[in-house]
Amino acid sequence: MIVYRLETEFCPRMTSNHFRFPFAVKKPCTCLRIFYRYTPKVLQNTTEALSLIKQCYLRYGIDALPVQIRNELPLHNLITLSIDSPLGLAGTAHRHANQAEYFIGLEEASPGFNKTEIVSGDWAVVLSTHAVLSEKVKAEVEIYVD
Amino acid sequence: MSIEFYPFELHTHSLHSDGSFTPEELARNALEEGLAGFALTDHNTFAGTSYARQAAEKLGLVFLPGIEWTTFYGHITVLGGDFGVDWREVNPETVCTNAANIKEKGGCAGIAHPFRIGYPICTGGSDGWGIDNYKDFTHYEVWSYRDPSEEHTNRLAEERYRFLAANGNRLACVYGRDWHAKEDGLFAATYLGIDGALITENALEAIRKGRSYVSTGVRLEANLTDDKGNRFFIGDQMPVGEYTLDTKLTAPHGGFSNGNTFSIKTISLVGADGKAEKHETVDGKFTCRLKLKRGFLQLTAEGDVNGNERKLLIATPFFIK
Repeated sequence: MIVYRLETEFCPRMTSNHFRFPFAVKKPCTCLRIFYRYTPKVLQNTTEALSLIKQCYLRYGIDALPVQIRNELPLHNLITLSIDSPLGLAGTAHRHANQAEYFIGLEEASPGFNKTEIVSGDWAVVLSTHAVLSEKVKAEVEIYVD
Repeated sequence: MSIEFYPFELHTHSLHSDGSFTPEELARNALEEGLAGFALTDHNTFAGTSYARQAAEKLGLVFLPGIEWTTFYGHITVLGGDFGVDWREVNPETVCTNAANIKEKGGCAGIAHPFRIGYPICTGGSDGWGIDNYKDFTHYEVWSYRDPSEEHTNRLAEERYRFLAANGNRLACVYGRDWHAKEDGLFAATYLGIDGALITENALEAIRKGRSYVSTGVRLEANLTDDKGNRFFIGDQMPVGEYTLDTKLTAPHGGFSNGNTFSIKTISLVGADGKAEKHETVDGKFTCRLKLKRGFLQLTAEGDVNGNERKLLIATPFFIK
């Protein structure tokens, strides 16, 4: 049964923040299933990406060669997902893939998440914007309970 | 006191964050590389801890539970356990308080790859905390990743480490391979000076006391002796005065040396002014009399690795008060 569906957008000025999206689990259950996706994964504007990489290197006193700058391509958007249970942080999936499925239960949990009892109460999805480089990054989350 | 140095890897990742190893594979690889122990420092999660601990125990390795707070402002490796800090609440305003709480509870918090090329290539990868006083921290990654002595950003880290030491910060000098996957290359390890049994608590104590050096495989024995016969080890604090420095460097066969061949040439004595006095070693040994002023005395060693000139190791200094 679906308990929460989220569609949201991020832009570069929203980088370096934690965005919390609460949802309710109305009765105790055995497992929470989370489907997560954000697109695009890479900054598609190559000219802009090359300029950002050059500026980045200069901050470290490195006047990088064009080949060195090109080797850093592509630049990635990175938005990680955490789940808060009513008792606190249930885990974080710090991954580079932009599409994933996770589950959390008392007996088993996906890597990154703690084995957690799915109690009724206020839960939350937290999306952490480590890097939003594209003008618009669309994120979608769906949460189901079993 | 009898201190024995053992190689550890203090910065690793498993598939509980973005590494490709299971915790069990990580432990097996640590054993195969000749490490005495490792810390699991997954990004923002402790979920792999119990699996890694069990795997390490089965293989006779020392295991240090840990995490890498992977924030927007910098990365910090926390070693020793889950101290209940939510990584999302670690920011420039709270970082020192959190580090202090961890230290009080017996854990270790240290700066990871402080000069790694940061945003937007590696987000939060470099030290952007704006910290002036590192008294709440225990360690600092002077070397990171592959072929560490040749990496430009590691040279910046070395300089910064010395600047911090000259300003009274007693931090253990550590290496972080930032181990995510099996790959070839020249890597290093953090050698921890263990006093007593080779167990987790004594490894953490070595970090807290700064009894450490980073090395691509060459081993260091070093101590200072005063006129009364008191002996001091790297990481110790001692008064201004005259001392005898005894050092011995050895290039091991087997153990943590990755099958590399070493030729030891010089040992350098680096002071708080950044000046280095380079001395030839005889059979890896060097002894001298020193009049030590307030500041620090750091040892580094130079030579060849597989025929290429390299810095071989960097030690936590002796701190002179």
